[in-house]
Amino acid sequence: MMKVEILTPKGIEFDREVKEIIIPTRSGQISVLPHHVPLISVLKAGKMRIVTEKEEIEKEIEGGILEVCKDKAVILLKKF
Amino acid sequence: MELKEIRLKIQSVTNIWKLTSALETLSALKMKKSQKIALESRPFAQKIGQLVRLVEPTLRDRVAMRRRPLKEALAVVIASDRGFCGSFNQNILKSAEKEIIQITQKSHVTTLPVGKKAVSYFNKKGIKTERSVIGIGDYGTLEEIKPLSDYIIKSYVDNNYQRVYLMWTDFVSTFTQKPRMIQLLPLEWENLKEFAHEADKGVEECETLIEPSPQILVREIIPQLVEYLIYQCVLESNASEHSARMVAMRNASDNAHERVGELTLEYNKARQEQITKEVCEISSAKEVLG
Repeated sequence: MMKVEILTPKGIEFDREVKEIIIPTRSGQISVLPHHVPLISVLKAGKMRIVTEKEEIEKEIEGGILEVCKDKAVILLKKF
Repeated sequence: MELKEIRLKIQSVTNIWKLTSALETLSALKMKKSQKIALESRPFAQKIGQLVRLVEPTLRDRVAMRRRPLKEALAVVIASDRGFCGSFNQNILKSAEKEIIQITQKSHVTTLPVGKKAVSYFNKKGIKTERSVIGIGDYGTLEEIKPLSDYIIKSYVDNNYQRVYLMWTDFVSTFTQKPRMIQLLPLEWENLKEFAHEADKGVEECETLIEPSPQILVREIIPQLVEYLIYQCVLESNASEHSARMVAMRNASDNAHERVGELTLEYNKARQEQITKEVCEISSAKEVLG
């Protein structure tokens, strides 16, 4: 499990432990699992999928920034 | 004082009291909303600040992060469009002026005032200004700030300025607001540390992979970083302005209220005095006529 935080200028929109995130970046869709290497990536518009223990959340995003460091991923978006 | 004079005075102070208490209620609402907006976006802005730290090792020699020989500096000062907010504008403008004088010793400085009050202050002081931004609403929005941040980035990249400073009022609480300054460009972690509200713990030095490439990151992220940093500072200033106005108006209406009480007392005394005098006159006249 890893911690995922989604931040927008409106506040912290999402802060939970998840199993996996599948997210569209400029260099293609990537999936981030626990123990991913530290990464900063530019996101592009598309569908983001967050897989948690119980559910799968799918959401359209318009681009943003992804930062992965240790077992924590922070996604900065304009809107969520 | 004459009775009529006092009555007029009571009337005018009551009017002031009505006005200030209406303004107090209004700015209390605005204060709540602007505080909420500023506080909500803080984590986002802080994270943006922290990102600078992560990308700094990789992007140190890029324009946005490289120190160039300093000739011209730009100081962006954020004040408000409207007055009636206690010492809010005075505080930020005075401290900005002091900072600007200090920077002047090292380089040539141009000031970019945000808010009518800042514009008129610097014009009066004869400080060189360029472009001014007025009309940012009660709650700044990204759309309103975009032209400002685009201009700052463009003139920095074009090498019109080698250093950009940002001065604004940081919102601490309803009763405390602090004028602050950061060096916005070049982006340096050393200067943003305090802004990001982060001690050195937390983020560990780790080799960070940058995707797709540092070039794209610079092109995509740096303008956004700058934009959001300015945005947050405007929000903080908004929250500070409304808080300062609320407090100032509360003090003003309290004072006005107190003054009405005092004047009413004076009025009653004068009235009584007059009645006593009249009774006195009547009774003495009666005695004489006796």
